[in-house]
Amino acid sequence: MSLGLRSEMKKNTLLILILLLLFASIVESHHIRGIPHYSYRDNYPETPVYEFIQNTSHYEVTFTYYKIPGNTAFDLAVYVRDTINDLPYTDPVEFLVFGKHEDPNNSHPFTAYRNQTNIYKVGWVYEDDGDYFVRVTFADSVKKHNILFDLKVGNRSNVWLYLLVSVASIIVFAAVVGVIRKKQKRRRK
Amino acid sequence: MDCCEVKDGIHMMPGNPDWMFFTGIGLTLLVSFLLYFKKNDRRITSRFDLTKIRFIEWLIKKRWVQFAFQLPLFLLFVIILYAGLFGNQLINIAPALTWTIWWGGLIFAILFLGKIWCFVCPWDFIASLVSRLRFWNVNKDPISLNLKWPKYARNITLAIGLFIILTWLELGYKVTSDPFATAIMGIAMTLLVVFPIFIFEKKSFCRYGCLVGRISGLYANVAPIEIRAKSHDVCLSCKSKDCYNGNDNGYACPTGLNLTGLNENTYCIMCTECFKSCPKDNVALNIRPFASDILDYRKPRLDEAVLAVILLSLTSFHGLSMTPVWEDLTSGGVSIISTLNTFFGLGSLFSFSVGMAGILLVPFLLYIFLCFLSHKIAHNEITTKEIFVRFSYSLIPIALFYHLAHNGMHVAMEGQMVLPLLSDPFGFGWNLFGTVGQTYPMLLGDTTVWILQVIFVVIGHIIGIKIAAKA
Repeated sequence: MSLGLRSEMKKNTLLILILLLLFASIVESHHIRGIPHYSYRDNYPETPVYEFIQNTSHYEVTFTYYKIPGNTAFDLAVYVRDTINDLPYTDPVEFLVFGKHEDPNNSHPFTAYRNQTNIYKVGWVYEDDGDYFVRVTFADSVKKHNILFDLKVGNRSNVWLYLLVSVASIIVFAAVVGVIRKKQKRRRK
Repeated sequence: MDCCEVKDGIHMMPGNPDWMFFTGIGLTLLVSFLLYFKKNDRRITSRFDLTKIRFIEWLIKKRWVQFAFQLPLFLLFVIILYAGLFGNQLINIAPALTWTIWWGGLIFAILFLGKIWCFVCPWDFIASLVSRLRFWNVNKDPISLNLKWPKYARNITLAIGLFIILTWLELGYKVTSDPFATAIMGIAMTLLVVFPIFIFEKKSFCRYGCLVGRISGLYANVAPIEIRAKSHDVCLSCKSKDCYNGNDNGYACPTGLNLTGLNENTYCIMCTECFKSCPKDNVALNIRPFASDILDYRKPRLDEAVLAVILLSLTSFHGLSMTPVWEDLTSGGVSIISTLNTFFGLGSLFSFSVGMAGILLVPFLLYIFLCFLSHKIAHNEITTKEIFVRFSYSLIPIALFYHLAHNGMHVAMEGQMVLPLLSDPFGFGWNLFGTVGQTYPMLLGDTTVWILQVIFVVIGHIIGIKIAAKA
């Protein structure tokens, strides 16, 4: 299926292509990110973990947590980035962990200082499976910022609901289609 | 990870060295020029029919064989769903198995085995089972209204839309890092396949809507494997067209193909039903040279052309999204995302969506513009639309081999992460194989990965230029 372009034109096209290449530049480095099923901040290439990102004012706060295998200890880690100048936050950050039915005022906060890679990390040991909150607090010259992250220890609840709804919808749909087909067949007879 | 440096808490990986980049460009141009100006373009057109091997012929014709291949994949799918829904959300095999091993490895499977994924597809397994109510035997009256797929939708627009949504979910919403979201997507895909099978005839969704099937369909034209008629004369003389209509031995072709006009892999889902239904044993499973279909594509279509351009845009976007140009996570860097963040002030996800739309549109519009220029250069002898369609097929191998280069890096550098997770797939604290807590080296070193990437990209471009020259 030739479009009938002349060979001189083909040569010119290639010449343009070569000229375009002169303007090519190389990206010298890039994040190991791609299919991001791992945290690309300080845990690569360890077992993948999930990151939670929230914004407050002009700060982007990334939170992640790792379970220490074999016991009930957790590492909680936070990275705070100022989106205006793309610089990491450097002053101390406070962590407060409390259960869903606990009063945060009765819990003790942990104060964390940034490490060499600008990550704030604290260790936390839990007693029971369940849903917890992590309140991350930091301050700039204007105000104090509070951000709440979910911390799930153990299984999610109501997961069966998703499966039940999916399976039930398929069964109901199949039944409806079956009934319609029977009616259609009867009419044909 | 000796290949990487940590900067402001961010793991950085150096890009391919300059000499590799320029060697790649040089090789592409050199080999392409040689191919371009070659007068006698003699291509190897020989085929070897695997069904000449009796055991393979026997295997293909057995109805239980596809079930036997689909069942383990279905069970693996169930494990992924269980891990995602009920497993510990921190230590969980679902994302790594789905997005690194399956999604990463899928493109390699297509390159060598064509539409093999469709043959083992667990979603198709579920849909077929609930509709036909048979494990493998033929049910001539499956539960379905057997309606025709709407005429206006008889193209692959739905698949293109789903592919764009998947990429947005993957890179923007970061669904691939979330076991629960991965499982929900698995369930959503199941419903997307199951509901249409109750409504529409055959497997219309596989033909028009499945994003995996349509992408692998275009790519499979490069694969060295095909299902074709042994003799076109036999097909032309056939009155019953059992491959199209089905019979007691086999279902009608799920994607509505008949062997007489089957010249490309695009819509064949390698279900092997035609082997079972053909009364004249006129179906061959051929091994052939790479890129046989794509070098001589007989029925170019606008919707396929659009997908080809979008594939290239999205695969390029995938690469771009890993660079500091797109999002600079280190101190003080200016990037597309940070610029959009500052401009709109509506958060990262919004900026990502706007940026992604822009990145998708730019190559698309540029391509249309170049087609228009070619139309003018050709003194209006051929329309812009025709140029758009015909040249788009040259982008398919470029996208495919770029995809291979990209996914190959993920499989080679991250595939080993599955090993610790195999011992504790649900994060329940197990240590089945003693691999928990262990770290494993990358499957391939960074230099090897770079060299392979350059080779892939060069091969893709050479095939692309050859197709463009033929267009």
